[in-house]
Amino acid sequence: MKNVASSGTGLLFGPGVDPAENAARFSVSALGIQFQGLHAALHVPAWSAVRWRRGGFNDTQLLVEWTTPAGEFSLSVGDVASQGALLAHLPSAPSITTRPSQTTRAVSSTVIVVLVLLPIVVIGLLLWQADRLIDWAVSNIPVETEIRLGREAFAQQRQGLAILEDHPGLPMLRQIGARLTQGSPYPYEFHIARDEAINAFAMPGGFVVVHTGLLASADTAEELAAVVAHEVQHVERRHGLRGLVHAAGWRAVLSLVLGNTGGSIAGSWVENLGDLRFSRSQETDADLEGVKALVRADIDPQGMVAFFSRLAKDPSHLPALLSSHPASTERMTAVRAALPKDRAYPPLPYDYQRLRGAAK
Amino acid sequence: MADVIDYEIFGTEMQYVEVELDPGEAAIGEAGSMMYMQDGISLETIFGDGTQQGGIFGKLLGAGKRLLTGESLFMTIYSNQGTAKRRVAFAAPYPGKIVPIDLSKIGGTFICQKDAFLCAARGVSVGIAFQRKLGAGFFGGEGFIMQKLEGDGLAFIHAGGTLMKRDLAPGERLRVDTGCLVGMQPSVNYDIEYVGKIKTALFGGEGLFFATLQGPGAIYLQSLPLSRMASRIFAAAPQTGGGNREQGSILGGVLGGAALGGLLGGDD
Repeated sequence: MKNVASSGTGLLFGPGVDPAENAARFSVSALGIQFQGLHAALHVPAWSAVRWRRGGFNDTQLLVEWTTPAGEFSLSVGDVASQGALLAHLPSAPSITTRPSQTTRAVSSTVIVVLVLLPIVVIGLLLWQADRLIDWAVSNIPVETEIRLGREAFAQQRQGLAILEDHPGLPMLRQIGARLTQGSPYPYEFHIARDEAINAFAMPGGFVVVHTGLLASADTAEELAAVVAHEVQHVERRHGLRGLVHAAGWRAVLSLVLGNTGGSIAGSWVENLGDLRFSRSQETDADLEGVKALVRADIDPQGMVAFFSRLAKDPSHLPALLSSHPASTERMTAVRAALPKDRAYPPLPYDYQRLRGAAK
Repeated sequence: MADVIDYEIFGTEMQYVEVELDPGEAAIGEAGSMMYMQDGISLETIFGDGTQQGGIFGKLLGAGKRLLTGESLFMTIYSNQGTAKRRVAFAAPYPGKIVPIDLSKIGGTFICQKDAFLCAARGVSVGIAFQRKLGAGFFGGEGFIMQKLEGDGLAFIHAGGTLMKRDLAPGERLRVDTGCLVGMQPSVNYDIEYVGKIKTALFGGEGLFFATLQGPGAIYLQSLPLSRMASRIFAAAPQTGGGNREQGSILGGVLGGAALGGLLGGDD
């Protein structure tokens, strides 16, 4: 048999080989692998002394390994021609198998499938049973905890608000609030903040803030009472807490799935989407419960219909959301249907035009 | 044979590399990475990475591959048309380190995370290395598409935080947080490993898998993957929408966003 030497290139690793300059040229013959250039002085490994395996990125490399008194050497060959030169002399089957056994592979692929499916199932469950799960979670949070959370959040929120302590309408707001919150476990606080936006909001634990813009745009004390009743119901029905649990739930699920990186951005997207679906039903809920509370407090609930309808008709006051989503008409229809018939209410004893404060 | 270029790296945490081109030499740069260049350097934007031979089909294929790796379809060649040495600089797009890789010394091929490529001597090709291991593709933190730099010239890669080079001995194994791998020689075996305990998987904060790298070969690791920095910045950024008044504490962010269901809709 002729000793046809062929050659190739690869990467050489081993004691004394500088990893920064380990590109190696070699030739193969029946004697073994002879290195050239930089590594020409190396011992020639005989074919009987080498082992080989597939490995490296995507198992594209042919790795030949041998042991010398100085230590372990390894030659990694990537290109097909060089691999061919080596394979002409190597036994046809790899002499080292690094593959895990069949069972480990099966187990690890099951683990992967489960781990891919599990979050999908959990997220699916969350979406599907979100209300029930949140109900359960919320019912396990004591009112005291909610009040404490709300107080902290409001203390933070407060710094960004222009709270008016001497607004002429404040006593009226507090009296109306007191009538609407009789028998409630929450220690309510009512505030007026200087803000032209026609808005009011409630935070968990009973912190209700009404904007001056809203006071100015309401025409009667009944209309204001309707808004307060609506906001109070957000507290009573623990909507804020539900939102919090909802968001925290998503956060927990996402951090489980995505680990510590990359969770936040995707997380907020999902949270926002979840909140959107959530809030509309809450608003309707607050409207209907608000009507009941008004009736219980002996305040004419017609104020709610009047206020919303007037706002919806006047384009200059139209908040963007009211105009962009048709659900608000449905909301008012629902409120109208919920109004008890044939019932008279004593008017609220306030000079509203004077108390609502200076005009915008 | 790729052009032999000299270079100098400036800066510590936000670096740029200045490449010196002899007359007739050229460098290729990722579109948008050029910082400045001296007179006498002309630039030409090409479709693909300038190494494809043959017709329009080859070029389209090359460009398509670039699209897959998240690079721009085009690459710019900066060539020195003058008679003296000229310099052109390429800047890193986010805090981190620029590392030169001499492909001729490490066997001609280097595999790195997509987006890692910054610039190179003309003659270096920037292709894709498709991860064929499902597990590593899904959970390795680098995705299925990686970049493959081939040729015999100098290439510059960039990654976040501090870059560490490590030479793995034959058989030596290193477990790496997913996302921290920047690049490696093709002789390195890249796979994933389940973290091992369910409690660690759920609450350890490292996710479910480690990336495992097994030698022989050189690997580069980054201490701060861009995605991690981005998520920290995002978490600290003032929230948009209704809760934009408060500082970005978690309590404020969550409560503000969720509880401030304004009266008139509340779902903004």
